[in-house]
Amino acid sequence: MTAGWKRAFFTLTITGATLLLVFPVAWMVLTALRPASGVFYVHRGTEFTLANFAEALAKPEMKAAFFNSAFIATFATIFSLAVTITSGYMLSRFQGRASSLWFGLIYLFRCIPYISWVIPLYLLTQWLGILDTYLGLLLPHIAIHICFFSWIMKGFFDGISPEAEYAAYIDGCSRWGAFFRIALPMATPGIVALGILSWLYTWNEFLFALILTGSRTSMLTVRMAQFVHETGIEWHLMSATAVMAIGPALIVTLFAQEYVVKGLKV
Amino acid sequence: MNRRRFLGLTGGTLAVGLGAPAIGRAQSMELKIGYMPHPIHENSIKWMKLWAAEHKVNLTPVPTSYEVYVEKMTANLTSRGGQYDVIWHNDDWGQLWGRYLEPVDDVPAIKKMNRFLYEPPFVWEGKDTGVAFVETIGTFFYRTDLLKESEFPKNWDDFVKTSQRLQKDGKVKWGFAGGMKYPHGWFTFFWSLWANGGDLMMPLHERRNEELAKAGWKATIDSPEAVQAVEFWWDNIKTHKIAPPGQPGYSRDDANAIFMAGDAAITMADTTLYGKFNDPKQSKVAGKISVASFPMGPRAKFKSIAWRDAWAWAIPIHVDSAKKKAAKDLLNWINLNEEAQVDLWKATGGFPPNEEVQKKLIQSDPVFRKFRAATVESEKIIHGAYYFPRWPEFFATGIDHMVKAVTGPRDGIKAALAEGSKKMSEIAARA
Amino acid sequence: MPRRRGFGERERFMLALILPAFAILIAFQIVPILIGANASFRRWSLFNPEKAFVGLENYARILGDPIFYGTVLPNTFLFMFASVTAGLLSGLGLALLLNRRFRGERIARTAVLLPLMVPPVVAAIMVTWMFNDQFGVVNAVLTALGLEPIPWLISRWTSLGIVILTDVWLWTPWFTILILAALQTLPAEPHEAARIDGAGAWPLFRNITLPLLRPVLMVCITIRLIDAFRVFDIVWTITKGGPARSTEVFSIYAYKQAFVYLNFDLGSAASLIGAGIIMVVGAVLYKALSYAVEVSR
Repeated sequence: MTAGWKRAFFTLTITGATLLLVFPVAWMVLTALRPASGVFYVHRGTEFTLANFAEALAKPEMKAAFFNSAFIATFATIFSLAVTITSGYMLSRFQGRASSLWFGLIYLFRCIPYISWVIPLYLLTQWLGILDTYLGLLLPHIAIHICFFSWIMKGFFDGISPEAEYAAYIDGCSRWGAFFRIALPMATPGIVALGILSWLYTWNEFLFALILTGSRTSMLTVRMAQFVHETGIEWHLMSATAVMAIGPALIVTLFAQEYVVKGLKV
Repeated sequence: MNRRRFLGLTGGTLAVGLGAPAIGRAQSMELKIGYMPHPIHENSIKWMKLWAAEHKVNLTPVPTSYEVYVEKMTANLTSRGGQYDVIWHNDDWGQLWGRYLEPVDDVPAIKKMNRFLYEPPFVWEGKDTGVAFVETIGTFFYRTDLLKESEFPKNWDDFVKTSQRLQKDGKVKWGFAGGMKYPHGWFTFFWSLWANGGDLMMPLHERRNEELAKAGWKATIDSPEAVQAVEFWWDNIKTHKIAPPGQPGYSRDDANAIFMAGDAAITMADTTLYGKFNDPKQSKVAGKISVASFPMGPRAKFKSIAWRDAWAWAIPIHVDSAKKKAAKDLLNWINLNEEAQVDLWKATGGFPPNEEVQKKLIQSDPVFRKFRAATVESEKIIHGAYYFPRWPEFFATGIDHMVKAVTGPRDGIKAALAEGSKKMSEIAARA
Repeated sequence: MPRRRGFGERERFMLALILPAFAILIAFQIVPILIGANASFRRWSLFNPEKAFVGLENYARILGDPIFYGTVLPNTFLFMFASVTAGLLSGLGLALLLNRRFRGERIARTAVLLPLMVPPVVAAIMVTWMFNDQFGVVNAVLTALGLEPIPWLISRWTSLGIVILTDVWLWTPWFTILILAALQTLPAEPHEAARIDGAGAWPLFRNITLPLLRPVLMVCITIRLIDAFRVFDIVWTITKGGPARSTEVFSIYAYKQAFVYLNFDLGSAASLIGAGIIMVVGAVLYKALSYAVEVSR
């Protein structure tokens, strides 16, 4: 193959792949722009409107859902990173019974399907009196991440040579000091990248949001699904909300895209 | 609505509603309403809010998605969670929740309703456990621009021929579209089974658990009537092509979309969808629809048949007594309030359960008269579900086997239904 | 180390590192799972928690259910292998394509990440809509090409195909960014040396790039296999396990037992059986991973 053909092939493949990945989202945008009666045949007709966005946003519960989702996603990310950084560090820096026991536990509970603990979790949060509160959503969402994140964090710290920490010990630095001043800064790019994934995960999460929320803490994904699952066939409103929901996610991703690509080395 | 008018409407029965101590204590009382977001519930809650404002009660509606409504509410009731003071209660959950619900026999408005709605669905150990707020009744919707009232098919042959004629003339894409897959089998399989003189269990049309137990919990979706009903759908889809080939995968919403897009001449749905079908913003057939009764099958035992059930509000038994009393007052008020009852009908197409109001509507509203004639004035009225605890699994298993039968080869229908019947009988008999 | 290693000092530090995570894990995962495990040994329906101890009866019921071993497990493994393989291959391909400078690179990278920003349940609703037999764009295209429209969701294989396609769409970007991140940290020397030796593109990839990527690929594969085994939202949204239970995967089966049939006992037993299966499959894979990493060093 000549260089020219190679380039054409490359351009074609990358364009094709990009289009395939973008198409469902583009279709969603198109659906969001169609009036209610034009939503049946999205590909026919030329009526377009922005009214769906206004109609979806006009519902007070929708604004609350945007806020709740952003709030839970942000704080679940912060707290789950906070507790798993140390846990991953422990897994990476210490060998022995305790460490392999902890890793075994993490692996074990990573494998258990969500549906087997969500109903007991509902009963538990209800019993604790935190059902339908931010706390009652945050804690389970942190719990979701503990196994996976500890595992990945271990990888981050494995990639950082412990020599610098040993040197710090010799200089009289404490274990905590070495962890905070040496290891943590070096792992930061990876941690930020993981944070983005975590934020997106919680922003997009459905099953826990469905079961563990009530009126006070309703989440965006559940509200969106309701347009189609409950009030029937309001695909236009569902799409409009979904398009708006991509907004914050897009900002988060664009903002940290460099981190995501550079930071994630497992 | 002012207090005087309220008094006038509710009359002497309402020592309850005005119980001074209750109002005195109600200053800071909160009533939490568990419901699913649906136009009917929202209409009812709209009126509840009026009452609440007048009685200085804080009303907090707590919506729960339909998909998880039963399991969340069940978990809540069994663990005495205290999340709700009033909850939405569907007829076919009667036996799941009976022991966890406050008896509401002392709500006077129930006397104004049809007893059929309550027995057996909402009766637990001899007491009513829910106060109906709408009747849920299935009916046929058809396009008046395609069919005259007299042309609506009376039997299955007619149904096929009429559909084929409309399709051949290029007037409409499909004669009929209806929901088929779990949990929407009512809108195809079940109505045809009942219109063909069959039923899901024996004895025919029996819904009392004692009698079903005596008959050995015998499911009958392999009866000749049922096999014929499934064959009817197989033919409609594959031979006559009057229903879309994807129909076995349709939920109620998929079928409603086809009707609202103007692509089906006839559909089957709850009367409560009338509001949506008739809304020009959402529906292309708005203003061009009417209702009719079931086209009857070849083995029909009655001239016409329909089901009649209700959605109710119920009060969890562990709610404290002051709140229970307030909730009962509220539910009584909303059912005796003529304005609220008429509004429910006008806004949604749902029948208000107060029969005195229904009588007035028959006089004043020709559309309501037509709806009544197409449904509850049928020769035979049955319940659309059964009321034993294993019903959810029984129901899902039945629909799954009917879908299996209708998507398989035609000569395999009987075997698939026999297999389903066997499993359903086992499920119903399980303690 | 200058500091005297006092008895338990190291252990105290280790404990402090994992304590917050451990506490939350116990309270909000382990305790609920134990409640569920307890239910799996009892007769416990959601509407009537009588809680009589029945031993392994529930487990026997699940393992003896022809739908479980005849439909659910084959579907689950098919889904798991098909969607992880397809996601891995397309993710790897895209990462290799994106691992260079070109015009529109930033746009392409952002576009590739787009599926990560769509909630799986919304993606599934959109896919159902696109494959709708009457209104869907896919059948519109088929009709425009003069072909018969296909009722996608009434047969087992087309339904499963759509579910797998959706999963691949959702997870390709995940593979892409992880592999891309690894590609960018690979040492340049082996590539340059091989190129000087005149190696072609394929041998270069096969002999140099792939071995260097092996650790990250194995971690990705293990994590995705476990997740694919437990897939729930997209299958529930697109097929609900239908038509007639033919596309049920393991999570749907357990969910239906617990949530639709209200058999909390059977649902719990089913999910623990599934957890056991994936633990064994995952552990075997994890051993293979460690071994492969050792070999590749």
